[in-house]
Amino acid sequence: MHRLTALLLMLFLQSVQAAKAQDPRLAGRLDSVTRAQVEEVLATAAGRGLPAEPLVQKALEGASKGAPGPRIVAAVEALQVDLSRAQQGLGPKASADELVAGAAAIRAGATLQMVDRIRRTRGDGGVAVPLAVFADLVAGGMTVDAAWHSVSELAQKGGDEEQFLDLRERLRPGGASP
Amino acid sequence: MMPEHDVDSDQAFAERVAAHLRRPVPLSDRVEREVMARIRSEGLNGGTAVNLGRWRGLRSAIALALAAGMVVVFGLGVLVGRHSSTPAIAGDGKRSVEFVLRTSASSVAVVGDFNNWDPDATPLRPSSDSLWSVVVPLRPGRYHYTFVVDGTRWRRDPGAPRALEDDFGTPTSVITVAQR
Repeated sequence: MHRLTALLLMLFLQSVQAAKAQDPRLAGRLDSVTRAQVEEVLATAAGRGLPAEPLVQKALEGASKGAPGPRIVAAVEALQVDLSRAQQGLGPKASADELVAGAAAIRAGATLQMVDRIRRTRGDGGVAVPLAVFADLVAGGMTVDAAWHSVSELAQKGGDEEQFLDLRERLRPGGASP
Repeated sequence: MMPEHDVDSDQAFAERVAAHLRRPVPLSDRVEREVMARIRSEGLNGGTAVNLGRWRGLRSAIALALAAGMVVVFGLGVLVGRHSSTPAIAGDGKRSVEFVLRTSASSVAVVGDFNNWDPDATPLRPSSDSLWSVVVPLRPGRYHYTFVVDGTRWRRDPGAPRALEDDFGTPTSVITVAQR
């Protein structure tokens, strides 16, 4: 009897997760095979408490750009891995915005220790903008060390979000003069 | 597509104006005499620290005046054809973000994480001088986006950071909207 209850419960939870993984926006934008594979990734993400929206947007970006199905699935999977790593560094209470920025920072070369350190330094100040700025600086050609030094220095000074965005404008190529 | 020479000429123009503003400001003989007299007087009565402080104040005032000119110049730089990310409060926790592209085209749209990458969702409107723009209310967050020119050409925003995570081999930009 207990086994039957447990089995039913498991099936129920799986169906809930599968329902969560379905997004009507994917219908008509992806072929059925690609859509099924993307929904598998979404189900995995939901099971880990990761936000679905950035993954859906990544799939829609690929569809809009006419990328082949396997490439779309690979990009969505890679983002799911980065979001998962960001969650390790930022903790389970991190917001979707913070996880997205954390994933970008990790892809730019930040280690989990760096992500954790900025979280501790910022406290309640939020880490989404500092991590996004770090990623943008590296994308603009700065080395990981130089970008990290600039961002962590401002974090230690208690800089607000606008100050981080100003920092990015000053340091990125073609940005405003210091 | 916004030709590179447009960006260069905007920058060259801004630099020429900035160079003009950076030149020393000529003071009339009367002002100069009064300032020097005041410095001598403060030097006898107030001591070096106060003296320097006042002089620094005067220099700061001049620097501020020059800086105000610079703000105008760089503000102009934004207006003449780059991406403008000076978000204003749009209510409902959103901020108004203006996307701007200068290009010769018959249609321009912006697609991104904020409109499901739908080329029909957010068309830009042309104004004079091939300047296309649209204002989009966005919640705080980080968004990937790009311009679609004439329905076929993907064009990165030349005035915004490029996305590091370019998974599909086409140019993509990012914008971060601050919470406060």
